[in-house]
Amino acid sequence: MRLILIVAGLAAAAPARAAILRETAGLVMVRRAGVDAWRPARRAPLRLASGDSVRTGFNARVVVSLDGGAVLEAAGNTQFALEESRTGTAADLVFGSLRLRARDLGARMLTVRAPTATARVRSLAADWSAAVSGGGNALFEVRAGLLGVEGAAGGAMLLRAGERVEADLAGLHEPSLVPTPERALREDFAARMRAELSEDLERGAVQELAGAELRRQEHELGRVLTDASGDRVRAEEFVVRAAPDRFEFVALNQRRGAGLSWYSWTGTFDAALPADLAPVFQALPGSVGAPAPWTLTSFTATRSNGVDVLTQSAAGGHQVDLNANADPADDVAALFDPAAGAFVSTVGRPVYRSLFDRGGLYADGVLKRGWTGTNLQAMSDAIPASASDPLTGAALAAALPSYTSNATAPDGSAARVTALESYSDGTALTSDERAVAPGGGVTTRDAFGPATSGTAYQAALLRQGFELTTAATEFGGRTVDVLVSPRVLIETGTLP
Amino acid sequence: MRRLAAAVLLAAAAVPARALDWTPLGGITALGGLHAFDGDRGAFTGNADAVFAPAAPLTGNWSLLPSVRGTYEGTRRLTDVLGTATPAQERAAGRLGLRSVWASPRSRWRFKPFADYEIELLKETRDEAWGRGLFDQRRWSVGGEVEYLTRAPYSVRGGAAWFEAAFPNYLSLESQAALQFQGRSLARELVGDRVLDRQGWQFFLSGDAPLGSRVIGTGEVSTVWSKFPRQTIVGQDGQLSARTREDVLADASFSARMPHEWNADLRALGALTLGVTANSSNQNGYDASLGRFQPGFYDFYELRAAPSATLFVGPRKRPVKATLTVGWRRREYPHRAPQDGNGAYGSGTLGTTEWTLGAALSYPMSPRLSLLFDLQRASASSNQRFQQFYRYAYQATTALAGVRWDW
Repeated sequence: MRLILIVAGLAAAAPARAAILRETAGLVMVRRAGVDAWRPARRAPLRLASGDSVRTGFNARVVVSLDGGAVLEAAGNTQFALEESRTGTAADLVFGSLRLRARDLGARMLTVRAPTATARVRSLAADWSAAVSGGGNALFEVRAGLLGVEGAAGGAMLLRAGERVEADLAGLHEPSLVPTPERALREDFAARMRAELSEDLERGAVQELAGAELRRQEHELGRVLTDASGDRVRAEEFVVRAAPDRFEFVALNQRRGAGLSWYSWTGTFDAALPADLAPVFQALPGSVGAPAPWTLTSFTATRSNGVDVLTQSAAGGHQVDLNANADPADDVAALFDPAAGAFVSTVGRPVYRSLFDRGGLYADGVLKRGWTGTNLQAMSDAIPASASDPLTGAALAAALPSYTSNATAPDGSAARVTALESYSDGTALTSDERAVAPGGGVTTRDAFGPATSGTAYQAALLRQGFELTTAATEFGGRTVDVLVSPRVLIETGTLP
Repeated sequence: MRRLAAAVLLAAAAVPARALDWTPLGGITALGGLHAFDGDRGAFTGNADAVFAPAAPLTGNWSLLPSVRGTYEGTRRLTDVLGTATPAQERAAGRLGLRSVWASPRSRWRFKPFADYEIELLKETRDEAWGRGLFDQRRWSVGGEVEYLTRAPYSVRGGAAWFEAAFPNYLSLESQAALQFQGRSLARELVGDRVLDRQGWQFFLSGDAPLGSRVIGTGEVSTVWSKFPRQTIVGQDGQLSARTREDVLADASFSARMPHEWNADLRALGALTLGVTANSSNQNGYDASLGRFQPGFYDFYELRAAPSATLFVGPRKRPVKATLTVGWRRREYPHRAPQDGNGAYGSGTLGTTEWTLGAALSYPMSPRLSLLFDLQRASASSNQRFQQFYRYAYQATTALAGVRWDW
């Protein structure tokens, strides 16, 4: 009995057996028990005492021989601490993955403690692995032997060869079968390729954004419009400076399957114009208080579908104070201010505009009407052209026919005005004006009230798109259809 | 196109092939729904998106990932350019991609050459036909990416790509006017024809890393440097100079994601995404109806924030997933003045603000099949009152329901 007690006492006094770090590959660090610093494990074998910790770097590997013939193998990015006792070995796995193998553990325990579960070998021989990922979630897989797993939140189960279980803060999941190595490789490959595919597809997002921005800009600039019929109309407006004293405003349109149509207005002035045309545009509707620094001496306004052309030209321009001439009928009570985008009162103030001594309207080159005069101070003094072209002076083959004009609003609910000029020779000239809503279709008349001309009509038109369709007997059934900024038509006096 | 084909052949030849043991990847999403814009509602129509990628491991640590994608959208997305104000618009897109991946288990580095070709067809109005849309676009790019694994599964990625993008149906009207008016030119000198076509470089850098014990951060920066060889610069006098347009579009975003787990069958993911997008261009604008020069017309910057919460219910592999997202974005055009309703320019800078609210539900029916529901609402406002051409203020809603099948 005494002998037994002595043997037992000696056994209890003996230090716990140590593990041996046998192989290393890559960066392997060891932290001794009770020490804060990690030191590289430069040489193997290296004795590991109870409480020592091991950490592996990327793609590193370490093999540790445990007491009782068990072997622990850690992959890269793993950290664990060993605790040896007389009854067995425990590894505290902080993160990473371990594989443990044993042929005959005898009575020794082999335990792995993860943050969310603890696994213990329940057979003499064993081959199993443990992995800890983000959040402390653990995965245990058994290749051979029996493994008991207890969840930190409760629950326990026995895993057999070919089984696996996941554990998290909520407890143990349902066990499932371990995938075959081939299947595991395939799943890993598929997961990596799925991530690559996702990156490949996402890379185009910013290119898609760049393309979308270009489309947005074209819409913002008014280059992509929808006409009164709901069809696409492309539009471009720009200014051409062909000479220092001249500029041309051009509005181009194109419909699907059709050629270009356009409205252009060319003005020639008595002096060179500045590079910044803003003040010139500002004075185009008229100049209040004093004459404009630049006198518009001639202009040509053209509407065309590429085949047919309606041209209005005038020459001999000079500035006249319309509110001080002899004709009270041409007094200007309100003038469009392009900068303010509104009509301002000019009652009782001088308003200078160019009056032209010669002018004419031509449909496909055929003079429809015109006028002449000398230093006209009011358009009421102009003499209607009859026997000769007012601009070229050339004699006409026949006297110009007389004409009557009439404007109507044919649709009571739509913002649409139709003007008809009927000539005594049987020809006609019609102009169909429609305010176009942003998404297409004719604007309702609500925005306009009863006005079909004048400042109230023009002011309402500024908020709309504007489509102008012109037909003439000379066009042979064709029309000239142009979407153009109403602002320019107001500035140049083209609108009634 | 010829260059793309050559790049594809080169990539294929560079990697010694073996008997391909390929893994099919991809999925198909089919959704039906409606898009409403300021009270106008488009017809009930559908969206479909199909991706197929047969991934194949090759010898020498190389893998090959060819992919093909087809998309049809009959219902507009809220991420689209909605200000065009058309509730009905159709978009179809196709993409062919080839990506090769070099990854060794002994190395932290991965190399990924790639090439892709993409075509996008757009029908914006009723008279546009497939393949004849004004904004149909074709784009190809070829480049490479480098990835450095920091601590699995986190990494840093960077790369560059050369690209060419063309709008084959877009020819400037002015360039046509220079040619066809009976000897009379209506166009300015130096006018370009295919003014939207661009080419240049795309650079990108991204990475993810854990931030503390519970949060994962992801950052991305992407830049597109576009040169427009046919688009000349507008000067103060409204005329064109010999210089051509160049744009730099940059996008940067950062998102923080924080997962939370109540139990094995109830989990959540909270996320906050912050981003900024900016465009800098040497092109100017010119309002021809006022003779007004607008330098830096195309410059803008945009700030955005989008908190979201996703609830996962059920098994980890096939949970029911419900997501709620709130989005805010503010865009400023630092060189554009806002206009009043008549088009008159005011003071200050043009800005827009957009709020979005999204709710999505994914309900798994089988290991590969899920039901999808998606509802999104957007509300945009702006100090730009002149909206004759483009709507800056609107309300829009998209509602979709359908299925997704995953490979």
